Amino acid sequence: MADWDGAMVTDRHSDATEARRRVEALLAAGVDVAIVSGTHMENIDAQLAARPSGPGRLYLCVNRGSEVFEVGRDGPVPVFERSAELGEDSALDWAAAMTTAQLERAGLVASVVSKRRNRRKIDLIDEPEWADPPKARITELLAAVELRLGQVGLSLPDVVELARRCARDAGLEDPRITSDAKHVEIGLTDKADSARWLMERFAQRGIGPGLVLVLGDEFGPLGGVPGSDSHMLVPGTERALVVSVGTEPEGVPRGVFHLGGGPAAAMALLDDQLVRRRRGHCPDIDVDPGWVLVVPDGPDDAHRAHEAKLTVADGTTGTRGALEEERRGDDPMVFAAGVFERGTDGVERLLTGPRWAHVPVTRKGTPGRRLLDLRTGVLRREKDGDGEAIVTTRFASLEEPGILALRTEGPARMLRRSLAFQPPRGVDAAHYESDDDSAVVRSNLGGGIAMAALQRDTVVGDARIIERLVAATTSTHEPPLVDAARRRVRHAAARGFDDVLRTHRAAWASRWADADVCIDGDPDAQLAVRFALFHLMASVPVRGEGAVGARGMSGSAYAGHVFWDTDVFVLPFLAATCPAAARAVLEYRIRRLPAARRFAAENGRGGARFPWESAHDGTDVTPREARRRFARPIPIYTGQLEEHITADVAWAASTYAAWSGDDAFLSGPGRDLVVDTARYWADRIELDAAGAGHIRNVIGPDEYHVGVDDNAFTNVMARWNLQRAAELVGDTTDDGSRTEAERWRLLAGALVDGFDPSTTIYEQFAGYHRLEHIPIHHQAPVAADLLLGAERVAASQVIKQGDVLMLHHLVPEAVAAGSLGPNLDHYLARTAHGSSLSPAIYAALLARAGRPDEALGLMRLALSVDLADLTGSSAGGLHLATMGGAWQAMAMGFAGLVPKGETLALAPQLPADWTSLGLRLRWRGVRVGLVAHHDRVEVECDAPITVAVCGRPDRRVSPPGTVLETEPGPTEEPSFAPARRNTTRSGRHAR
Amino acid sequence: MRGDERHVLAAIDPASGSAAVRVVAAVVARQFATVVREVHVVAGPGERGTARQAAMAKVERGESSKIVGRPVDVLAALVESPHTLAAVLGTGNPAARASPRRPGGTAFSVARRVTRPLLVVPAGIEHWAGARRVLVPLDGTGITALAASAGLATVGLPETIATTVHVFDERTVPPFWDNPQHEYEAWTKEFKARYCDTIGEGLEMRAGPVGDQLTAMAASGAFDMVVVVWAQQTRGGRAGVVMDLLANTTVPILLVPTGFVTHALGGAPHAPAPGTEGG
Repeated sequence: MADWDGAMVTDRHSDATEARRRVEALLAAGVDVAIVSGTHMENIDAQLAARPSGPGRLYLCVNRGSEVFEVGRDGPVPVFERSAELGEDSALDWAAAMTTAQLERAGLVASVVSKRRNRRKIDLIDEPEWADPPKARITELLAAVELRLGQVGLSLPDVVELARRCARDAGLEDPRITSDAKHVEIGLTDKADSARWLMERFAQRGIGPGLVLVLGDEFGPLGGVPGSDSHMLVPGTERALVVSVGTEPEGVPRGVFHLGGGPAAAMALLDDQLVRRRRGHCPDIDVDPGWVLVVPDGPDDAHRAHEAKLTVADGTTGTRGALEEERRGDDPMVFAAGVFERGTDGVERLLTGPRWAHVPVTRKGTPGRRLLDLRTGVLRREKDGDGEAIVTTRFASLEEPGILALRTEGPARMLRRSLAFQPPRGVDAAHYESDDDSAVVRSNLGGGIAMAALQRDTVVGDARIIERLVAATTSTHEPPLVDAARRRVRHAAARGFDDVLRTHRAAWASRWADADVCIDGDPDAQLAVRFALFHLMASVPVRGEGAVGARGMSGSAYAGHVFWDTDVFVLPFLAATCPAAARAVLEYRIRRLPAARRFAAENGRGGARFPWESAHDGTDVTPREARRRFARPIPIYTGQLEEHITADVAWAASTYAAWSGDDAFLSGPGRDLVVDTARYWADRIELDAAGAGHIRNVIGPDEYHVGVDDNAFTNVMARWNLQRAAELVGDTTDDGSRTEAERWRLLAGALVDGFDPSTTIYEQFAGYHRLEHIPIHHQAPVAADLLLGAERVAASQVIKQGDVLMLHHLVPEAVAAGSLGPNLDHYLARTAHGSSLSPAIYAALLARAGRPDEALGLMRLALSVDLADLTGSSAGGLHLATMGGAWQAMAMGFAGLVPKGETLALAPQLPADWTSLGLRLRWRGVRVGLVAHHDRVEVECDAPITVAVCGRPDRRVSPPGTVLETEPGPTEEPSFAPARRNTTRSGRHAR
Repeated sequence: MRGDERHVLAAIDPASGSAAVRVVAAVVARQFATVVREVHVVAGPGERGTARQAAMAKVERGESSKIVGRPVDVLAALVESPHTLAAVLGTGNPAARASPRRPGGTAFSVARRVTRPLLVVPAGIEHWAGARRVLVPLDGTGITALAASAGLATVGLPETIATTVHVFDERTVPPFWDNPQHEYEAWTKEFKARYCDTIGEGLEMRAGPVGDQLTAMAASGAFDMVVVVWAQQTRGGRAGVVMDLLANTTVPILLVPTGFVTHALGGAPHAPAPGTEGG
């Protein structure tokens, strides 16, 4: 971002060949360039005359903030224009006239010399000697002006202030007054507008402020008036590199580097940028504390947990952030989503791929640090190698999943060339092949991971730069194609590392534009929530199927198995920010419907039953016991009894449709996810003599109680599933379908749910209230089954995580009106939070219930599960469900979002410590931005939407948006369903 | 100093029976091809200064086995002697005393004072195969793991099989334990990688009062010795666990001061400040 006259060229009439040459070279190298000037476009373009030939964009920000042109091969094209509103033009005229009149009254003759778009220019020294002074004479000019003004008792700041008063008196609310000593200009815009526009445009391409060079010659004050270039220093440029090449007679503001030397010095700066790019130096990242996770290196027991946190992934592959030289004890694993192998113990686990990021970096010197830039998905490593820097940049392209890139630079004696691939640790040699530029790992289940690499090793003087581009092709069921990987990597190499990085950054910027959460007033939570969202987005593809394991692709824990974690905790975030990713998650389930139907049949039921743990082909892969040495194995019943996942999958399908507006999904490929699961429940329900429906011998979300009857969560979700399916098929003309739908409705109505109207409490399962009550007095989580023993816990009311309360979270319209508060109080005192999934959901519910400060404590706990490695097992991978739950706490809890047909309802409840909460979303195809304050919410949208705030009537909002007041609204959404009668339950207590 | 100048020190108390101490000391001495020097400290004012030094030297040369003095002071000094390769004390035999006294009380007091591991032997051991199967409790800190490894090296055999154990109690139980079948695998993999690397392959987990769990494991017959790292405090931390074990153990306990890790790494040994309390 550069000023023109005085910074890039000597003046507006000088030859701009040197500037043009460098600008075009930078554009060809992929650098965006912006010229910011007070003059009009024709002047700049005629002088610069640059035409881009590469991926970089050239912007001309002219007319002092009022216009922006993007220059293409055929010349400038307008992309932004600030048009004067009714009355502003005449106000400018009036202001200028009043200013000159008052100066004349003071004894100074000044005249309006220019009426450009949105500004009026007044000449303070209309003398032939100073008709068109060059920048080099600025000091003399200033002295002459000050002398002239001084003769009438005025100073330059006085004149500026006079102009401002006149502008306000003329009715301009935000006049921009600038001065170059000779003139004072009254305008509607200034260079700050240009800078803001540019920073926003750069951000859309993944270029943070720390990656911006701001070049000018007048940052410092001139005659006591802020220099015109100082207006470019808008909020957000604090991390930019700001350089002045001007004389700056009164110094420069703090944060500006005064180089001096004029345009020649500016050209030298640009040459340096070009040399760095041509040599292939590691690109910088913008070290923004709100976006960058910094992990110091060095001896640390938790280094494997750090590797998981620093995983770079692209939805199809994930590479843990181990150090390039791979120390003893490191776990440098690479995974491909959905590619499993069967171990010798019969367990299906994620296949580990070739290690592509290994570089033999010296261990000499001091350990440095690694920085994960969440905004751009780039992992940077900085180390001191015996007094000289070693830097590595690594990323997995989000724009082109499967393209992986690494660049390492440092002293040649400290970086050795290495093969592109190392075999995964522990791999069976029969399943691994490699040569100099490719590697394949085959799975004994048919699929595999193939990689091809192109590597460049450059030594210049005593510096070495190793650049490695890798293409991965993965396959879940067929042998992976090495040739395809070779073609892809050649294509990537033809584009070049820098271009691959450029599009990767832009892809991340696009994702964040639809997903970011901004918390004003809580920097720790801000970084933590972005950390969570980053890994959620990186773990799911946007096409094909998404087999999203509990720990994603950041570790081998949980074997990559798919749990309800994905459907209930991860999918809602995706549905609300990237519907294509949510659709991929559902595609995994759709393709495994045949297996689900078989599973139901094996259990003597119709329809489809999804397994508790799923991997390669959708069969149940839940272990049957937890084996321990020197102790009896613990039997595990979740595979047999935790059936609510079947309804959870249907819920996920419905949630996707609600948020995305993809109504065709539920009548098309997603229909069977709802209908076949309903058929399962229809067969599963037992009717007693009184006609009440029961589901016996299950495990609910609270896994401390095994083999219970009429678990409220399972029953109500089954009811919901039946009713939803009946809605889908009920309008059909097919008699059979209508009959079936009617039966579903009857069964749904018959199901008991444990609700007691006298207390408004749902009994978690039949007999729960008769168990021993062990009060839990604090919010600190504890694995109660480990501490007290499984049997003691099972005989008590202590629960592992929200069970009844999950209903209030997932299907609030299906629970009794007014029951949230009483059930929260009842079960919060009984919840051990022994599951990492629990705190975030309780945070969401507490916020909805009007207790946001209480919610905040649990929210922070959820956000720190992996960042603080609370479980001691983050080394095995990050807790994706906890991360998804944290987003839900923000969106459904603190922002109170509820999709209701075509209406997006919201009811913000902010903790006292927060100033505001911002959310970016996709709502039924519309880009929405919400900023909730304590007394209002700002709604932005790029197409009309309907919102309902705090229970008020629907309100139609048109682009660009509006501000809506909020007042303490209802703390719980009114139920749309009448409270269900609870018939007498008879059944087993928990085992 | 030549190897044959170093010996295994065995603290004998004829009044409370010392057969078990002699059994274990003999095994350790054979292991290091050295001799046992027995010492019986008779409580009394005793000699001081150079006279006591001379008396101790006589014991170390095998010329005498009796010293008059304060037992804890004398034994601590002898344990710290550069001539002592390993030190073996007994917990005492309460049945042999006229008035009951807390078993292992003297050993506990000596162990508080020294910078080196101390092998404490319960009465009743008639045969001991050496430290072939060793139980090593770990609390999930690097310093305990390092000290345990260093301590085990002082009496361990090449064929020693060490089993580490972590006991979950209110302080150490993880906050979350999502799915037992997977969490166990993930948690133990990481715990082993962090702390068990230099000790042994097998990791056991227990839950409950630490002293009770370790005593039960020690009594199971599966172990020949238990290595306990502690901070040498009288209250808090592992002090209670040590007292429980000394009172109830049926196998020898190797008490290793936390500070021994510094000593093992070549740093200056340091004893706890006298009278320091707390965890």
